[in-house]
Amino acid sequence: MRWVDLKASLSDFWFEFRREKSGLVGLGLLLFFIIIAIAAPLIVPSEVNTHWRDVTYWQNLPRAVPPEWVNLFSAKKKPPHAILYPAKTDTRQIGNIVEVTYAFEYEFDYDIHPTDLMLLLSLNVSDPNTPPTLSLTVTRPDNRTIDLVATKLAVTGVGGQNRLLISSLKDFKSRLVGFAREFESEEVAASVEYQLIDPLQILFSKAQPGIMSAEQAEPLKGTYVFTAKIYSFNPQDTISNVSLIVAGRVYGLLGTDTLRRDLFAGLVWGTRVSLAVGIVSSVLTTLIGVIYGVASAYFGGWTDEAMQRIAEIVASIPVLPLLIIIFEFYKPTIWPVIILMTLFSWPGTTKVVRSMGFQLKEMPYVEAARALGATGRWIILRHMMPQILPYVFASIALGVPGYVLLEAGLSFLGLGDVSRVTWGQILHDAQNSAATLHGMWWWVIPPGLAIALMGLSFALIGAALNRILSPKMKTL
Amino acid sequence: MGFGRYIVVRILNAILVLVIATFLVSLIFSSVAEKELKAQIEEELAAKMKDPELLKVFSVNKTAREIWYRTQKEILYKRYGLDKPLLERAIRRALDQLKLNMGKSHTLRSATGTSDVSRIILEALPRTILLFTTATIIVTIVGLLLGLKAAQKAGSMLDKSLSVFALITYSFPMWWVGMLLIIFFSYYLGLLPSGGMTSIPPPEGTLERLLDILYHVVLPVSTAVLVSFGGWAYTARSVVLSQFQEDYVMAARAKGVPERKVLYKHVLRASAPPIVTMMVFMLLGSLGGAMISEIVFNWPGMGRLYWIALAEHDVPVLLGNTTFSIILYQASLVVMDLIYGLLDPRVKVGAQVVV
Repeated sequence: MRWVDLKASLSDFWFEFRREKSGLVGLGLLLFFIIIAIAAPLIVPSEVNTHWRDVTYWQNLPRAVPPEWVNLFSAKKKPPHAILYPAKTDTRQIGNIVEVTYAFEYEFDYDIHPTDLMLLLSLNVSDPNTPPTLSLTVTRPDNRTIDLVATKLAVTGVGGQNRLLISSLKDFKSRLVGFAREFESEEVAASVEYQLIDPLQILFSKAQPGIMSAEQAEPLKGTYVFTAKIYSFNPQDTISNVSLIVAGRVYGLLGTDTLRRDLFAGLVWGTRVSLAVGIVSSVLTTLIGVIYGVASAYFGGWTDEAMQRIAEIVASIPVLPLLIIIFEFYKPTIWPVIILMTLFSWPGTTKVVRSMGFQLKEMPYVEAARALGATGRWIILRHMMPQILPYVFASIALGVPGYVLLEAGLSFLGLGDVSRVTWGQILHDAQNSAATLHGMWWWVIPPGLAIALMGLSFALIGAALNRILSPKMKTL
Repeated sequence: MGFGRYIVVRILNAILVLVIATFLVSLIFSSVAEKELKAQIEEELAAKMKDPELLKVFSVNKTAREIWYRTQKEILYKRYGLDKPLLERAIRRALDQLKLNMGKSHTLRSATGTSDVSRIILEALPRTILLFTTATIIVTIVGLLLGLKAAQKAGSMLDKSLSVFALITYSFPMWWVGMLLIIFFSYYLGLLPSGGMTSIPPPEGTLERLLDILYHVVLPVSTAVLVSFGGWAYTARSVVLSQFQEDYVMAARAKGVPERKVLYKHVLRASAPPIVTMMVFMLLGSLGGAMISEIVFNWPGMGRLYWIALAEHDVPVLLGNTTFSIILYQASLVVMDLIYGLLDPRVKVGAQVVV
């Protein structure tokens, strides 16, 4: 086939394909997935892929919260997750003591208080006997100031780098409760059980009776200024990376799961595995199936009989149970996964190709080629395959959804490549954490929808190809 | 070749596949288990050697230690069958599996408390069959009726929307749809139970118990039906439509046979075998999906058994479950072949290449 012919037939093909609306939709979807897969490192940090199972990597995010856009549909605005960096840093020298002041500003304009407040800092201490001390105060929009915490920064080991985390729930609860008691009547304050009080609710509520009750507290909107002062007694001590995390009730585009992972990041990276597994497995199986089918038809007779028997046996081996056993024992990475999946599912294409091959074999030009002394391989490759090729493309496209589903199913069972994020694994974790029973739809819907859409894009393309390439289907 | 011979050949074929697949699984298992067993034996021997009596003997005689070690190792290898070649062990294990002599589970127990693997699985098997056959029967009826209607009115709204629906559900993971239905019907609406086969504790009385199971079956079965019926209807429609172009339909119409009769008496009869053929693959394809769906619905069948066995790394149960899945799969194939044979009067092995 010459290049000009190829170009002509391609443009002919495109002319026909353009008229298939559903095919174009499928192609658009596929392009979208391909772009996402290629651009994954640009959209989300590439550490996501390697640190998906690393709990500490995700510790700064809120736990199991819905996406930010749920605020559009609810009357009560929930605060999104915010990581604050110091707006101002002042350093003062008082004798031997160095005082560093970090000021954070938080704009609170929501109807529900955040879930947690955490101060994060990296610390390098030269003498563990005189560790730095920290005091954290907040000035609320009503100009009341609360001392949240005053503590020594506990350090383990000399010269050790520590990443400290000071959290509202354990470190500043008692002071906030003390603050709230001033505004509540005594019997109310006495009746409230300490364990059940949410300190953050007090911090972000109006200073009036009802501040301690979850139902009556009214949110106090405005700018909160948090001031962290760190006093260090040794000039060699270094403090860096100070940030204040306001753990929100909504996060990002798709929320987080119970391990605080950003589901959007997982979804983006999962595209790669699904796309690669789907396409490569389908191409491989179809190629094996086609070559096998054509050969079977070309040789005919007993060879054909034997080859068809073998194909039939392989076809009736149940793929899923067998793969479960193999995956459980060998824990394969992505490429063996693909090979194993193709190994048991190639016979599908064989039958159709074989019957096409039987028709082609009787064509005068094949007979002519044989009369000229062409070898079997030559006839199969040069004369029969080009005729079957169009069918091959359609069946590759139609085969992809099956593999995407199979890979997702195996991942869902907790098998497959565990070194990467896949959509099936996200759903596996959702099932393990009973996400359905807690109504965590943002964890369940997106990965499954992605699987379904990827399958749909190939199914649409395949159906369109079938209509164009096999005229018989047109009438159906 | 008659119908009886056809069925015998199909059954033999199923048995052949069963044997091959079981052997494959056993071979994989034996080759992996070998390493684990050897490591286990080394450990066992190392522990034994710390016996002070033995140490006293060994300190006197160095070669005694080696001889002791070698003989002990041989004894243990023999006990675990490691002295035999891999192939022989695999064949033996395959035979054991086929005789349903599957050994004891590590941690899993059946409802009655035994650790006998085949008992555990036999307890789960009927539940999977119950779920799967109920779903299949409903899907077949709904799919066929819709497919016929669509074929009758090819190009109508019904026909078009059916094609679109079939195309969309073609790539839906069944288990994911199950998760969605749980969130919607169970979490938000609170209408249906989120999982399990019975309430806890199950109600008294046979009728109440049956109704309770029915109540729990609704959601899993609806999931399977929702995902599968579009594809079935589309298949039926395509086959019936291609039959409509045959001459005998034109002849019947020309004779003045009423359209209903043409469809149900002539076309449906002729379309039945190819429809069955195409549905075999769809059915077996959805068996895997149905088993994974069990996990979502906490349905105590074979799929959920896989989930638990995988979490607990209970290898004997995994192995047994796989063997039973293969048996179930082959049995379904034989049943479908049987139906095919009944529907297609030309049935002859060899003549029917389409299956």
